[in-house]
Amino acid sequence: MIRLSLLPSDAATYWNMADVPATGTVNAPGYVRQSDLSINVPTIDNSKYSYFLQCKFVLDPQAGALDRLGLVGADVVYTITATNG
Amino acid sequence: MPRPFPRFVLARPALFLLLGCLVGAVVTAPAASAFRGATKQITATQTRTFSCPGLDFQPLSSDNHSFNNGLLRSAEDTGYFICNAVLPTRAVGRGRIVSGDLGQMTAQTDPYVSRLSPSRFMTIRSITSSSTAP
Repeated sequence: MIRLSLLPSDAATYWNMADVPATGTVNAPGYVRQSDLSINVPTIDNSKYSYFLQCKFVLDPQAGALDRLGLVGADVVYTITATNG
Repeated sequence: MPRPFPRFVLARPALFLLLGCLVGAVVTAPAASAFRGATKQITATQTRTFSCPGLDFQPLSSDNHSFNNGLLRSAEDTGYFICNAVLPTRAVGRGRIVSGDLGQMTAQTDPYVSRLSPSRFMTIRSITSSSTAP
């Protein structure tokens, strides 16, 4: 999960808020669902930052069928309260 | 000598005023109640989830190409794929979950690797030029 600054002082600067371990045959093959419960700067502020989820595919085009690897999806769990959300 | 107005005629403005108040109360009460409900704040912490399906992930660089693999997002080459996280301001993130489908892969030496952890403080240059397995 990435936070992108919208402020002129540091525009287009990225911060990593959370990440999960890599998957794959050398890491975690098969259907995998992983989570990261330690979120850096977890409070959302849409007036200063935009937020997005990111996945990096690392492929070897010489290795054969590309459809062996797929991304099912991602989700973010968050809380809101009367004074915070 | 003019005749005095009958008593019921003299009382008619007051009667209309009272009738207007009653009608106004009946008409505005439901609207006022709905307004109170709309502005009512939550009193306890609520846990919610935002999700992004794989097909909503789009290549970060135009040099990267992807294709729909059923309901999954697959890539033709190494690269980053992103999906907007639509979260309300002041929400507090609790965790993130990413799912991958590597069901057809069995060989431990298979070079296909899904790297789901982004680089810290990455720049556009590092994203588009990345082509080696981590």
